[in-house]
Amino acid sequence: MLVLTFRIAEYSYALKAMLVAEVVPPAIYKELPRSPEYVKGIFNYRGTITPVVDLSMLATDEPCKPMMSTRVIILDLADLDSSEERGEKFLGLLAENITETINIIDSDFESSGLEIPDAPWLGKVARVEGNMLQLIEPGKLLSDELRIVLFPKEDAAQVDG
Amino acid sequence: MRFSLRRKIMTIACGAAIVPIVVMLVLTSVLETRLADSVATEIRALIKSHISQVTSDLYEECQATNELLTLETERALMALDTLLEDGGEVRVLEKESKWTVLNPRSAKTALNLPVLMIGNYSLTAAKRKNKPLPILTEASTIAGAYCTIYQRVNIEGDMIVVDSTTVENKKMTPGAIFYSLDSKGQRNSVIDGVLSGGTVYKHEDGDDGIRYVGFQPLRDSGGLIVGMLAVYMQDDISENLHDSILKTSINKSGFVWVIGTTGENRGKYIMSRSNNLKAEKASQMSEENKNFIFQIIVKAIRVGEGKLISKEYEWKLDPDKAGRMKLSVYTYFEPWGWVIGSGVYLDEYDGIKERLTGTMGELGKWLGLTGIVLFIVTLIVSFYVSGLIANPISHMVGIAKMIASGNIFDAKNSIKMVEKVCPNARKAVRNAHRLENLDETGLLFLSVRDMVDSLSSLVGQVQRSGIQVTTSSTEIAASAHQLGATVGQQAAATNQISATSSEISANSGELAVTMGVVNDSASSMAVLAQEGQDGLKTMIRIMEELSDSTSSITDKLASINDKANSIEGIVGTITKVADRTNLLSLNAAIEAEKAGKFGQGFSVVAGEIRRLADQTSVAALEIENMIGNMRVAVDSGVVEMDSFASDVRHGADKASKLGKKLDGIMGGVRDLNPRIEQVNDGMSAQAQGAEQISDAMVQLSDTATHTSEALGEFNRAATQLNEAVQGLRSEVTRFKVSE
Repeated sequence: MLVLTFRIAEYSYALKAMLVAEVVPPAIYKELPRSPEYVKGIFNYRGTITPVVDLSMLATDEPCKPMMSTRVIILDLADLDSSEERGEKFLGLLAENITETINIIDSDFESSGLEIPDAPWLGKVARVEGNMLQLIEPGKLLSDELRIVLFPKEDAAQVDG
Repeated sequence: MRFSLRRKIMTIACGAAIVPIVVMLVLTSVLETRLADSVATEIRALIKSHISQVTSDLYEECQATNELLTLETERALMALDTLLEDGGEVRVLEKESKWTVLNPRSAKTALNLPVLMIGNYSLTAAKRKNKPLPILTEASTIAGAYCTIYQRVNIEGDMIVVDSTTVENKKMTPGAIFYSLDSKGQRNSVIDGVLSGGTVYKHEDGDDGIRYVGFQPLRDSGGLIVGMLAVYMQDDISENLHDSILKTSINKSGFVWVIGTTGENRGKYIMSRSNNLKAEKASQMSEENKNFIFQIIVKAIRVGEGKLISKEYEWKLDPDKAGRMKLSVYTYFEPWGWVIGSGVYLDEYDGIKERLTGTMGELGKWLGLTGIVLFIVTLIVSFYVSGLIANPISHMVGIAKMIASGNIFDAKNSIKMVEKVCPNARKAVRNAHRLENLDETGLLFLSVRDMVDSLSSLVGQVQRSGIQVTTSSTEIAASAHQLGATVGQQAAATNQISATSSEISANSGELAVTMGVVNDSASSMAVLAQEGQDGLKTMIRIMEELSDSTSSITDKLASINDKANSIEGIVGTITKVADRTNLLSLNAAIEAEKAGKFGQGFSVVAGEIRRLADQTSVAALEIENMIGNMRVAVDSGVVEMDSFASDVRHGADKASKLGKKLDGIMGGVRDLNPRIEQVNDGMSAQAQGAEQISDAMVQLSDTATHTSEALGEFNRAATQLNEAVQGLRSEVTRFKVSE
């Protein structure tokens, strides 16, 4: 299994490559006033208005440092929510040090044994070259509240309807 | 005996009358001699040129005659030749005839010869005796020449005369043989010439050498030379020449002569028109004359034909007892072997000289007579005139004697007496107001009279003045004494001033020396300041150079900084590229994963690309670090250089300020120098002035002393003057002005 690694604070995390649509360099965001701090803003990804979430802010209340390796991971909303159509809506995740992909056998991942209610998106952990690598579950990343903010109800109604 | 004035005057007058006459007599005699000489030379030249002309004319005449003779002979020969050709064939018969030889060389006189025929005429002894061929006679008449025909006797060319129109010529009488060999065995040139087929002309001895004969070969019909023809002119031409020569005469007894040089005529007179031909002929017989004539011949031949030779010699003819001097001019005429000459006796020209001498003698005589008459007249006149001059002068001499003895009073009386006695003196007194009418003696009298008057009054005046001068000189002497005392005092004062000024002068001199030392020190200080300033200037220049190089280093550092900036830009670009590559590889890897099994190979490629991007990124980072370090170093270098440059600038400013200060010092020293010199000059001038004053004072003192001495002298002079005046008075009393 191929995973895309990145860093939050001083720890490495990973995302399944199969869930990643594309990695793009950070762009100019349109900030959204009165939104949660971890919502960076929106930007134009290939003609689609896409919201960007700062993972560092989300996890540690510290914004990502503006570096070359700080990039945006584009996820197709269809991969997270089966009700969505592929290629219609995307979600951008801003994280530091997105430079590597690693092939890890599935069995290397173990459960961390902890369940943190404020961070349901933390998944299994693998040991790579002496370091800990924790998977991120993107499906649990967006809370319902956040989903309403980022992908308004109108859309949901439409989807529902 | 006393030689009085009167006698002197008479002697001068007589001398003046006689001397020119004597001089003229001497000049006349000298002139006479010279004139005689030059006339003689002139006459001699005239004679010579005249004779030369005569001789040269004769020579020309002979030449003309000779040319005429030559032409005539040639013509005659041509005429004879033509007539013979018309006369018929020339041939020799088998038949012989007998000839009697007139000039045999052996005992045999008879000779048999083949008969020679011309036309129908045979030329034999019997037929031609006293009866020449008609053709020959005709030719003789036409040409005026004698013609002869020879027949060839033998192969050698001996010729015998077979016919001739000549008379009295033994050589050309029929029967005479013309031998081809002469008596000495030499071949005859005429025979040789004829045998070789040519025509030959030759002068022969006959007719005094004038005869000119032409020979021509006689050929038979076959062209063989069987004899020859001979032609010569009859005597008319030579006779004409004889007459012409003998008629020529020169002056009274001058004449023309011709002497032969060849054959039997050698050394003999051919012609001579002497007044006495017999005597001439006889005289040439004497041995002395013969030798003389041979000398003439030899010289004429040696000098050459036509060249004139003059000779002067003594010639004696029988009737004369002594020889007479004769001048001859002669020349050589070659064709006939003649020496032609003409001469005159020189004594015939003596008359001219004698007439000249006689005239000069007459002149001398008249000069002598005139001299005597002049002398007598001059003696009488001078006796009267000298009385007029001498009498008054002797009176004056008497008066002068009285004045000399101091007896002016007597002299005055004597003048009055003379005025009564002497008419000249009376005239002088009458005309005293019209001096231009008076003669010298009158003027003398008046002058002496005035002189006596003046002298009389002068002596009176002198006697009176002497007394006055004596009084005055005594007074002068007293005054001089007083002045002498005053001058003495002045000299003492002057000496004191002089000493003081000498002291001043010495002090000034010392001060001037000190100022000189100060001046030297100032000068050396100026030199040192100059050197210091030069050093400073060098230092400033070096600092400026340092400043320049510092700023250039700063510029270079700035350019390094710029380059570092641009490298940084490049590194940024590289970093961006690496970043994008990394991004690309990530996306590629993700896409490969999505592709499942098909994307495995591509995933490897993506991994490699990512590694490359990583390495690039690392390298870029290192470069960035290095550049960062470098920039830090350069920046610090720039700061240091800036501070160094400002230090240098500061140092240069200080140095130039120092230089300016040194300039100020030097200016000050320089200003000081002339001032010191001025002071020095002033000092020197003062010293000199003091010296001059001192000198002047010394001079003044000396002058005072001199003045004092001079006053003493003056005093003595005054005393002497007094004494002299006393002497003068006693002298003047000698003159007796009144009774």
